[in-house]
Amino acid sequence: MNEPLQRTIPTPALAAGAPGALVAKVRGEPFTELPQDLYIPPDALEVFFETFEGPLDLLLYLIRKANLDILDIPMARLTEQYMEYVEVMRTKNLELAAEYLVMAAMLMEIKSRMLLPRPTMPGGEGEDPRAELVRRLLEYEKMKLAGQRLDALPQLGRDFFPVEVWIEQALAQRLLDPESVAGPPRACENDAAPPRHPRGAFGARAHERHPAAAARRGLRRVRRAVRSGARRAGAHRQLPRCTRARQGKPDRDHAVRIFRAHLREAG
Amino acid sequence: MLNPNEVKIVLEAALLAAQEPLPISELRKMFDEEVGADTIRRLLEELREAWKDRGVELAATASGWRFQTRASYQKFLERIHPEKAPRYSRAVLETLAIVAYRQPVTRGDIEEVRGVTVSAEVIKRLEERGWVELIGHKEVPGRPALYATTKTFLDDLGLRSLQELPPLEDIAKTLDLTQIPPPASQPAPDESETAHTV
Repeated sequence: MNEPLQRTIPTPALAAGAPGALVAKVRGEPFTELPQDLYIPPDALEVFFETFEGPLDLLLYLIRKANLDILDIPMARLTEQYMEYVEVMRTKNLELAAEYLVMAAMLMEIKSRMLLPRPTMPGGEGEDPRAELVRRLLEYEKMKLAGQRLDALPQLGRDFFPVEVWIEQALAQRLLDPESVAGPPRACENDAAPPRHPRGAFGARAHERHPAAAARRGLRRVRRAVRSGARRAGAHRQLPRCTRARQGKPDRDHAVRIFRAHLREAG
Repeated sequence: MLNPNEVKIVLEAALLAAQEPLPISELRKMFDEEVGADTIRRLLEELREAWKDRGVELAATASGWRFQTRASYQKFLERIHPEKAPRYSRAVLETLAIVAYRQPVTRGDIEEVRGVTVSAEVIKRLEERGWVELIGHKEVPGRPALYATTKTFLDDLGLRSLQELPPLEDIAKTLDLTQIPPPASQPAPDESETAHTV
């Protein structure tokens, strides 16, 4: 930035100065050091990637933590920084680099528009060049906090379990148990076979009504089992159970549906 | 005809034995529709009250009523439950929030808010969990897919409807747009003088 331009900037931009010397005045407060937060060494880029979800997130962080407001961001230095990251990112993640580049361009555009005299429209002022960026930052921050709030809600499987009565476990037949799937139909021809326990009736009702939903549930269980079960022995216990115990008939349809759902997934 | 207390006991048994949340319409079928929905709702509330101090609670979710363990005892339960629930990254949680609060949304809408490309992996994780689903296509060029949250999402977070989502904070108040002060009022001591004299 050249000298005449410097004078027109409302808040003095950062001048190159030795540590301890007055670097700038921000809102009337003397500033003797560059905000530490502003500079992230390229070596720390790995950490940087994990810490920030993107250029908006980084900008929000700078504004919040370094107590900068959008007006006070030293654009020249920030842009220089961005360009350094972009250089390193180019070798690692081109898509991300492009996003940071867009942000840098946007910041520069805002700054340059702020430096220009604003056209005085009859009957109203022109839109603040920062308005769009602020709108986006606010929307992003809202969603960021909303995500944290959703995560804080009690979550099934993580913070609580649905209650499962023991009797269900006792009656359950295991899917893919070769004996029950491939074995001869036992009581299935005998329609008069009495329900072994009312519990069976309950499980069966839901499945009979929504075979597709039941297959989806089964599929979810298999996935969960595969995800977590691979690590330890006894994983077979997590396999979906057939709850159609009322007729004493292995639910081959149900097993087939889960299997087909799997094939679809894989295909 | 059962007396209200017996009805309550039947409800309790049914809910304890059910694998999925049961809606009131479903619970009514046990009594040949002889018991009104209002009565069932009142009895369920009584039942919930009766289980107040137990390790298990009766909860109402989007799909109906279910018994569930209390979150405060989870730290004990998980010691004997080796299966760990997935932990979601910030990218996944932010995407979930955008879908939940702004649905239906396209992938482009999510990217607009987050300022970064939304990876297919993020959406896939939410779909696999059964929290987010494709509900159609937006009638614009390219017909991008529209995503929305599911009933399972509400059930798993113990919500009855989207209205029960945590309210979005009014953040706009904390990040205000200060007006650009006129140059003369700015403290640039040695320069403001010269600026005026020039």
